[in-house]
Amino acid sequence: MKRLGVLIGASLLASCAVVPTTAPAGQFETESQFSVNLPSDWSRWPSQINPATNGEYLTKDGMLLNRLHFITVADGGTIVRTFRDSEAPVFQADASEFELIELVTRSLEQVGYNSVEADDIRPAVIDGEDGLRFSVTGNWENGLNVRGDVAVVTLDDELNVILFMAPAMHYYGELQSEVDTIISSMDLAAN
Amino acid sequence: MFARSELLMLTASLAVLAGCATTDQGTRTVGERPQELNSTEASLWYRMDEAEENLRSSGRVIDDPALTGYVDALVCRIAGEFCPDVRVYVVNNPGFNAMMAPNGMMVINSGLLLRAESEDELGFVIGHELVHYLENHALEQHAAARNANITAAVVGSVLSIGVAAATGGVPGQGYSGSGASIATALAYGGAYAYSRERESEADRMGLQLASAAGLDPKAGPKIWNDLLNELEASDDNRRAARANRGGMFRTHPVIQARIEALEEEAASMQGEPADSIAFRAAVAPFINDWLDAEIALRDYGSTLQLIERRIAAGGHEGVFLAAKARVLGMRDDEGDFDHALETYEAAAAYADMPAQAYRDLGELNRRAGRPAEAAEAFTTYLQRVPDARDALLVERYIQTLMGESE
Ligand SMILES: [Zn+2]
Repeated sequence: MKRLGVLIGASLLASCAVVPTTAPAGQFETESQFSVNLPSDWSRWPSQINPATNGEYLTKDGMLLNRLHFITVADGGTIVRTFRDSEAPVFQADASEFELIELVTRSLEQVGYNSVEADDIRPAVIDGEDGLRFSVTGNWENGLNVRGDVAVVTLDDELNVILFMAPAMHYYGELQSEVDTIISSMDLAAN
Repeated sequence: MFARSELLMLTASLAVLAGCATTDQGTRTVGERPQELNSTEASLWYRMDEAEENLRSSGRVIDDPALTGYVDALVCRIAGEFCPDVRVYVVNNPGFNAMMAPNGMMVINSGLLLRAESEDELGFVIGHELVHYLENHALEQHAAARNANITAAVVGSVLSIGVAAATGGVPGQGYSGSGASIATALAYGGAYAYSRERESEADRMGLQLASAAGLDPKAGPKIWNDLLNELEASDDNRRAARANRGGMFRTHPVIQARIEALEEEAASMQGEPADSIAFRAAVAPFINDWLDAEIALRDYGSTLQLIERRIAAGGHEGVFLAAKARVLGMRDDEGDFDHALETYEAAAAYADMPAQAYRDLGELNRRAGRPAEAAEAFTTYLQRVPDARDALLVERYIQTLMGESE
């Protein structure tokens, strides 16, 4: 009886307060239209608690030190979370690959990053679909140099994005290969 | 502030109450700083100094000696003896906006420089912002708030949120960063949404300052008129609504009245159009990047209106024509493809057409199923920018297209 009470309490809590939870190593179902395989444990920040963007985040050491962003953007949708009267770069299903790169870099420039540039842009096959991989560099709003890795693939008029960002010094390099593994494991729901 | 916000609830109540108690803070003197260290003015000043420090290290400021040197000199020409008290920052932000803080920090958005056609227009905006500063409008607003029993803490927090948003960070949100550009304008609109009377005063006296500096006062009504046309051409429902709706943002009658008042005042003032050679040279290296940021917002109607206006005005023709072609290609309405092709051709006649236009022309042809033309344009792009960041991608396109066109 006591135990049941705890369970009910826990489920009530889960429904009214959204907090970071653990995303254990193994298959991870994102809120987006794809799943990935995590080599190790991460902490998960669901979309409800991310005020600046749509989609959810995973982090190892805190959002400022490393963040892995998963998002599926519908036609006409945005990466940046928009409010009434707000403007943000828009995804359109017929966007060229050049425009997809622009969408990602310009969106990052609206959520606290500055001087964001794409680099090492290369075609990539993601879960059997033609996608794109590239890296980004820029500064966080306090001037800190940051680096990132991006994978984008359009399927059924939706854009699936994995976006890793971390300070260029130490933090980026520390997780780069794990992130690479995660990106390679991307499993699109529609496939 | 210059644009995009007129009234928040707070300001609405301030405007009503401004009539009940005097809030006139007089006019500033050169080098003036708050005397009493625990006054509200000093605390406002301190917050602004902090915000300025954050802005400076944010990476958001365009740090180009030629551009900042030009803007600084123009500000000094208009501000006269107040020149040493004012510090200007040009910030990467596609929104049409400028702001002035009571500690002497002036922020000019890249979106404003993209839209201004001349030194005269930029000079009017600078004059307008300087009046808010010289006439202590922020402090008056603050005093009005106090009279209205809105506590300094409330105003202070609105102000600091506003400035943080304007300068790229949202306090208390930790990792999240700033919101979108309009959200930003809204946030600092909350702090700097001056009453209509103060805006009129800033318009009128700003025009006088610009005219006294030898600039053409007719640029004042023109820049507002251009903005109105742009808002009306918007195919974004939210933006169109902004131009039409009463309340938060300027309504048509308000903009219209403002334009009319400015036209009337300008008619009685001296000043001839400046040659804008120095202005154009200072912004030239950035126009393409600023246009990219504007195009990313995907409001083809207002962006095309802006571009057409700039093409008609002359200057940076290769850049604006290439941007027009790109937007037409993206919009892809009936006839847009042919129009885009013609426009790329017209752009290529100008030396300042960005090399990126060849890539965009390649993409336009690729999508239209014209592999030979696409491959040719992509090849030209790689010849012009051999170390392009997207070279691998473009090379793959060329290979595929060559196969198709054989
Ligand atoms: Zn103003």
